[in-house]
Amino acid sequence: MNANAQALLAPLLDVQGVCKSFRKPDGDELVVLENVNLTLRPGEIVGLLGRSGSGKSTLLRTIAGLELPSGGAVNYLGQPVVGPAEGIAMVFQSFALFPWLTVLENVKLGLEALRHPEADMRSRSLKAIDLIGLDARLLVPGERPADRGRSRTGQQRPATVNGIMRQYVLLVSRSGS
Amino acid sequence: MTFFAPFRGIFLAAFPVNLIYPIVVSSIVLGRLNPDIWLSPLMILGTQWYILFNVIVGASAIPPDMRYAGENFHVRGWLWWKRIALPAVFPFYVTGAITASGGSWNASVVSEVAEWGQQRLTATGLGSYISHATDAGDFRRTVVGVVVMALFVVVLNRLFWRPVFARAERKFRMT
Repeated sequence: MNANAQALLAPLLDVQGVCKSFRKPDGDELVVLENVNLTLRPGEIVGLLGRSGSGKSTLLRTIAGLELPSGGAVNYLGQPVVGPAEGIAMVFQSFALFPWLTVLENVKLGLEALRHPEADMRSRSLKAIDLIGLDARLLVPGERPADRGRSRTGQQRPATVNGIMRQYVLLVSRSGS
Repeated sequence: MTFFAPFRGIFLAAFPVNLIYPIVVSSIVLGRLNPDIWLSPLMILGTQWYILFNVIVGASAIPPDMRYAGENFHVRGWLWWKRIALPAVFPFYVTGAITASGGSWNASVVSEVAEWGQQRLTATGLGSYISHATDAGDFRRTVVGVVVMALFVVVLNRLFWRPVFARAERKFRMT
């Protein structure tokens, strides 16, 4: 087997025996995740289904390193995830945008945190916004929320953003790809 | 957050400002400081807790997913303050500032004239005007002083705080 094929077969993400429990206010233990195993390989699209409250978002947060498991381990590219993992992006159910930032500023924020040069951030963000068919000028400072949703583009925004973002989407990507 | 646990804030707010009068008055007298400037801390100290309380409420009102999104993006340090924390807390800060500013006008009546033993320090201002008028039993001056102060508070609210609050609510509301 050559190196390329091996890289393709190696799991991107390896979740082994992950458990997560919370302490309830009355002192009892609430077990949310019990011995969860999941392997994700390059190119795979996996849907995670379950009733509300069944622990889907807890599992995703644990995979993204936003919460630490009470037991078991998450490995990303062979490395244990012990904090917010680089290369694992998470889109949240109840929260899509920082309401005080424009679309462009929202998209740029992730690159800003990685200290990319301004021109590079701008062009990459605009490309990404274009890709999902949004208008970067939306929510420009000074625009009143009362006016949002009146213009045609204003109506597109919630629909598009929600369509893409309201479901759980876990983007696992290697940098540069 | 644990340091700013609300009960501690309430505990601090319950601290009677009068207790620091001797310290402030003797420092002003010994240092020959200008009472017009240095009596102000007395006026402000008692009311700034409103700002602290509101900011605490604002910080705890940040939705968990918003915090997670920040962490997921690796937003840290100054960028985190600039893009997430300060905007999120801003409307709550303004609410606190409005309350504090009203309260401070009120406090000026008791803090522009500070007494400790034989020492009596007077600042030039509306607060000391009202204070002197009430001490002298001058009903007319008291009424004039109180009416002017009420006007100040109302006009400042209309011309300054309301626009600031409206802007804060419009732009920085977490929905």
